[in-house]
Amino acid sequence: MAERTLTLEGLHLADPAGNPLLHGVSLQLTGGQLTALVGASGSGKSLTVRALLGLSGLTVTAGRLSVHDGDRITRPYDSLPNAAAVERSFATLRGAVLGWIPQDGRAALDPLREVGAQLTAVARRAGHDPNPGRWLERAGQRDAHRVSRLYPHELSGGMAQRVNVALALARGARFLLADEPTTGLDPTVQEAVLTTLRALVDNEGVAVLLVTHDLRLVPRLADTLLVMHAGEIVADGPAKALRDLTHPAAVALRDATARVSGGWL
Amino acid sequence: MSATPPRLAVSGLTVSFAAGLLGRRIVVDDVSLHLSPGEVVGLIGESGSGKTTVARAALGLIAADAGQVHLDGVAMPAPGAARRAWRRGAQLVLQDPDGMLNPGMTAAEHLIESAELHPGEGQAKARAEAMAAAMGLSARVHARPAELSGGERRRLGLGRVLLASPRLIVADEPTAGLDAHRKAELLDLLLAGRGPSGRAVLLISHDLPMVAWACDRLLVMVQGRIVEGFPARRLGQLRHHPFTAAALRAAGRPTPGHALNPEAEPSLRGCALARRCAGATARCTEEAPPLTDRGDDHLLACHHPSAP
Amino acid sequence: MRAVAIVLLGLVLALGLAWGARALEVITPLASASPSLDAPLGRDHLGRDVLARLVVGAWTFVTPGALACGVSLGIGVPIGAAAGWFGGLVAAGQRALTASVESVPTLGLVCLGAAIFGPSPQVLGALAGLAWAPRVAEAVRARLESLRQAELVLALEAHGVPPWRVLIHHLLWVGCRGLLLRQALTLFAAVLTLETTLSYLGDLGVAEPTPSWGNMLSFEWGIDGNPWAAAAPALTLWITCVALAWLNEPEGRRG
Repeated sequence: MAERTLTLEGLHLADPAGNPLLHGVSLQLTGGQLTALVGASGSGKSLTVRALLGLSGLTVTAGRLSVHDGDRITRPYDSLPNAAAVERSFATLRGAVLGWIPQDGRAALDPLREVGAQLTAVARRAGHDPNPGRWLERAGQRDAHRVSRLYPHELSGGMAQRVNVALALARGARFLLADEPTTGLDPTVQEAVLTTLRALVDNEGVAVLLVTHDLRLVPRLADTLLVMHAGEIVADGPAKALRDLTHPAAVALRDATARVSGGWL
Repeated sequence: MSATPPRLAVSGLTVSFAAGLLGRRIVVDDVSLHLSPGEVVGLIGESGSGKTTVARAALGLIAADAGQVHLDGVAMPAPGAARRAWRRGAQLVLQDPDGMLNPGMTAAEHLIESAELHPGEGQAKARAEAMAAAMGLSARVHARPAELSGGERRRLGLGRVLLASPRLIVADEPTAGLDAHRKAELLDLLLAGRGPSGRAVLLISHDLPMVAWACDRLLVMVQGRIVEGFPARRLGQLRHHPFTAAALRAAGRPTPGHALNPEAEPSLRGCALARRCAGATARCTEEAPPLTDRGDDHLLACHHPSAP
Repeated sequence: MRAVAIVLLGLVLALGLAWGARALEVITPLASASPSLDAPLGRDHLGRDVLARLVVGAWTFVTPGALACGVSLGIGVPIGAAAGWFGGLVAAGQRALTASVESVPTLGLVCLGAAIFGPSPQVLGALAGLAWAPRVAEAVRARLESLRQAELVLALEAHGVPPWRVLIHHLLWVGCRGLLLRQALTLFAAVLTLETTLSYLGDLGVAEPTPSWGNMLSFEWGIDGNPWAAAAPALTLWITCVALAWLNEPEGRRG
């Protein structure tokens, strides 16, 4: 199996005034593994995802990112402080290697084109099979014929997210960065979307980073758990080991989650 | 039979909206529910099942085609000043936290307005200040909604509702999108006034574990109809409706039950889930199952429920 | 900054009251005199003090403008509020009225009025206000409709806010005051331009000998003599229009 890992080491991010927003964030994504990044609102989870895509719009004061995809290794932040070179480096990764599943599924799609047309265009540019049905099926979307002819505003939340996954796969993305992809979706739909992501990890060796504030999803779906608090990673370990969390912020999150779930954890 | 009338009694509520040129779409279909004083009832269902419409129709904010609503035994009067007076003491927490905030007014102005509208013990200004402190907004009272964070806006809206000292709160997805800490805080505030003759709360949500923890009783809605009702502590122990069983599985608790295809079209004849349910038979497509009492406070509308 | 501008305007207007007679005083031997201590901007070709006329002319700027604002808001706001609150037929009626009045060119309307009633600041102000009222009504209606579509009105009703307070305090006062202020400032500038144009077209603006910046300019146009007699009103017109536009910039935080 081709080597497929993404390694982030010691990322420090600051806002224009110089206030640090992320402190020494490190994580690793591996093909065939689903990593959950969990934390309370404002802990820096979305910012981390955007930094992995070079879209944070903020100053990276330190840190290394290396993306191994088969024989190709890209290290975008090594070109700092040359911002243009960093951007060029990321441009080769975004879409083609790093797929982004954002929180608002419909907003990420072109509102003026049918879903099928968007998939075909993207697949062609990447030199892959232009048949949209194939990608929709791999993304777990049933009734691909009907869905291909829909416009984004006609999609339900769950369908929109599957279309985003299909687009990422059509481009050839081997890493999927899913930023709270199921917020606002009904539990059954949420379950379906997350099951799709898990299936991609198990069956196709895709590496998934799932950002969420809901710790309850972790034991069933993730292999690795990262807990984030105030811009730092405070826990990093196997997903099943929720009981072994020691950092106060992680423990607080676990206990609050257990409490509002009536003890289901 | 209890001598005290229920805090909220809804019977036979039906609401439809215009659809297309001449048609109508039934969004709430013959729904009945009641809340005793101090009781917390959870209403769960998918988006589009009619939960929000039930909430608004039960408070007389939108017109219903049929049905009756009683608050503390008093029937809902015709729209106008009489209905506004009838509604006093009942409050609605909207799903969108910005819904009840005027973008041009500061937090303090919002709270003072609420305190003046709903007089209580002490001066309006003092009560408003106390509520700001209770909501953790004392430092932000001069900010306008656009300057507050999402959580602060939610707390401001909740502060307004609580200043009305409501005997009934209908909360429509109040914790959607919140992390566990904020969820816990908000629920604590919402449920604080409950007790035997205290505040009753109708909690609408699709977060099943949370609703099971917070509520005394649960009602399940599918496509405008109530399909199940049971005491919260018996969740998972009964022969549940397939929808409830599927929701339990989605929440991580393996529960036996027919698989539901989330994307099949709802059916308009017979049971709403007839085209989605793996256990559907001819009877399910012909005949809508009636809500029947299975004993022990368990109401169920299904021809072939799952095994416990 | 708005406060500073208002205070300045107040001072000028007060001075204008004091100098009323001085602005009309004709001193023929001093015709087109250069600036002096007695008349810092010199005198026009009839020997009248340019500065005094400029200052008194501020009243002929404010009076029609204020009258126009009063008329346009007084008519436009209730109509727009009714259309926005009730919707349906009332809104349709309002839109029809707006379309028909807006199709009449304001300049033509005011010329007609000046011809019938005689040119005066009051006629100018009232007719400009009348012509502008539909625009105000439409702005108010649109604002109210967008606020109603957001859930604010439903939420306030559920909270127990009486309808009159929802309409007057929440929707009109809080919801519309920003846009109404901007409408008023724009109207002031429009009236000023209107008056200047009318003076140019042939004394259909404010009639002599009452000074207005417009008629001062047209009166001295092309006359050799004290250049300040024409330049001063022109400069004042320009500065005032720029100031009105600048005051009209929405502040960062207000909606």
